[in-house]
Amino acid sequence: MSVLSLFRSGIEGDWLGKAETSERADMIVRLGIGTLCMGELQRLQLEVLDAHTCEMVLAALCIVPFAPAQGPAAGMWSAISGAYTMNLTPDDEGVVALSGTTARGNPVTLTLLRGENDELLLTLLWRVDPAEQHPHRIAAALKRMRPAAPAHARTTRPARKSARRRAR
Amino acid sequence: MLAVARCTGHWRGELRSRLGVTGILELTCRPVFGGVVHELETNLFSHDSKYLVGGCTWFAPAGGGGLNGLQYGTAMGLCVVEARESDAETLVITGNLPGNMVFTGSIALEDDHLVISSAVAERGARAREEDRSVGRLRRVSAATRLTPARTGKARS
Repeated sequence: MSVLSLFRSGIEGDWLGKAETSERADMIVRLGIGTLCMGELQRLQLEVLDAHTCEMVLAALCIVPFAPAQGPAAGMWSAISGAYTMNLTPDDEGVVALSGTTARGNPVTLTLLRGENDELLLTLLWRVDPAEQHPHRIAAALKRMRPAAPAHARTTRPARKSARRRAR
Repeated sequence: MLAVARCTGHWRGELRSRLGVTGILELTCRPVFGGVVHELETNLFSHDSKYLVGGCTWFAPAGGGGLNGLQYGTAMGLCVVEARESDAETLVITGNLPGNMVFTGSIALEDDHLVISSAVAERGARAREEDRSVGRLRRVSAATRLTPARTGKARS
């Protein structure tokens, strides 16, 4: 799946899920996906929050042009690493993988995969020091943020049936 | 205080080059992550409201008085930029574009107007007149923006 087809597969919106991280427990990931410049640019706003304090542990912004004129495939800014560009890397079918190197020379990889049941699987790997043996990792299965159905809508019987009963 | 923090909102005005009016420029400045990052989206329309080109700039304080960020232009592509406040009211953005080109832009608040300029040139050379443009924008409401619905088709 290309970046274009993934982003045109109806993934715009807000996504939320519990994160598995390499160092901290109880984290929540929020990913906002939208477009800019009359739909020419996809914008991913990633926030990783402490589930207890709601403190923003990581903030990252990823920009993916649909039709890059020239140069890199994506741009990334994060509160940890600053701004840098990213390129598409070959991966398994259905996976969009972007990788780049921060200004300090540390590798970063972001992968997105459309899962089953309208899930979006996100993985972010980065190293604070290129010599680190194991990268830092955030992985999450994100669900689309939806308003819950009102309580009465879940308990009330369908209108047609009740209307039929009244008619009898 | 970073000048751009006071620019939040929608702005519109004519973008001019030395060669004449280029089109109508709309600029939206919005905070991201509660103001940790500033996002500047610019869209240029022809006078008959056809979408021509767009661009976006993001930047965040990086310490030491400098700001680093990203910039995307539909014609220029994507690059990392550096933003610096030349004074309390002016922000200057520079970035290296693909193909040995350099982008320089500025944003300043002047008498309730947002004055922006941009130039693209080969590294080490002066920008050609046709590659320089200046706009003096006034604040507008979101409801009067040239949305895709009003402009009809995308880029002509």
